[in-house]
Amino acid sequence: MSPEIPFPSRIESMVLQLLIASGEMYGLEMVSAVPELKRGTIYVTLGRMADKGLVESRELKLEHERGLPRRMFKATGVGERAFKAYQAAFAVLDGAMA
Amino acid sequence: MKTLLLNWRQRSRAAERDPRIKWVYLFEVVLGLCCLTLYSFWLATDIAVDAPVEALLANTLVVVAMLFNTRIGWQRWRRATATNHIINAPGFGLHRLAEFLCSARTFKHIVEPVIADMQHEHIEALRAGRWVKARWIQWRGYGSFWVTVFLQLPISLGRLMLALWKVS
Repeated sequence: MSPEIPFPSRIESMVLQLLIASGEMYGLEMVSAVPELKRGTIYVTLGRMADKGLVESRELKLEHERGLPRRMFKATGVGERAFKAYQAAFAVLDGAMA
Repeated sequence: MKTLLLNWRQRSRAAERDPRIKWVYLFEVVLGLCCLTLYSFWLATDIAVDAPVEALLANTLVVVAMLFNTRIGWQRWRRATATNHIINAPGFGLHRLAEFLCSARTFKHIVEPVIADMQHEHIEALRAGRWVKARWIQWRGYGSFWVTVFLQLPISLGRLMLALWKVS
């Protein structure tokens, strides 16, 4: 694996898998989709992933909606490559264990 | 902040209840005013002779309490007639607090989305007429906010220490 690509943790890989499959999502959607993700920790995880360059985000403000704008997250190219590397590493590990 | 939360609580109560509640509030105001007027007439003609100071004090307290109740009833009636939808979603106090305490990046990317999610979920629950669920979402959102802040605190402190170390 290239040293530029950060290796995601288990939770980060779950988030990446979800984002790659669904495109763009906000935190609460991810929490609803994966029970292992928690409301209190999801944005801290996403913030850490954004620092690593695995995800990127934008604000989404709809005209008819009240309240603060939602922040939508999506996986970056680095994130997709990191997730593929994660899967490949675990496939090798599974092969070695079997 | 306490005042803000209190205002929101009163507003959300008005929003959650039946629109006909405004007539109950109006009745409370009229009843309060009637009681106050009758009591004032009675007070003027029947001041205690044996303990005038104590009697005056007690009566003044009763009048103040009645005025206070009438004022609350009046405010509720005005609020209920002015609007029957949400004026301010919950979490604006926390939003201001976080804006003041956190760095711009932490605020925009980590803390604000937690409050935004809570507000949207809360509004959806109120729209569906599920005000008990809305209240539950509100308290759960406050919990998520503080969990996020406490989890982010060591990361932010670490980042600050690193920046200071690099400068030195």
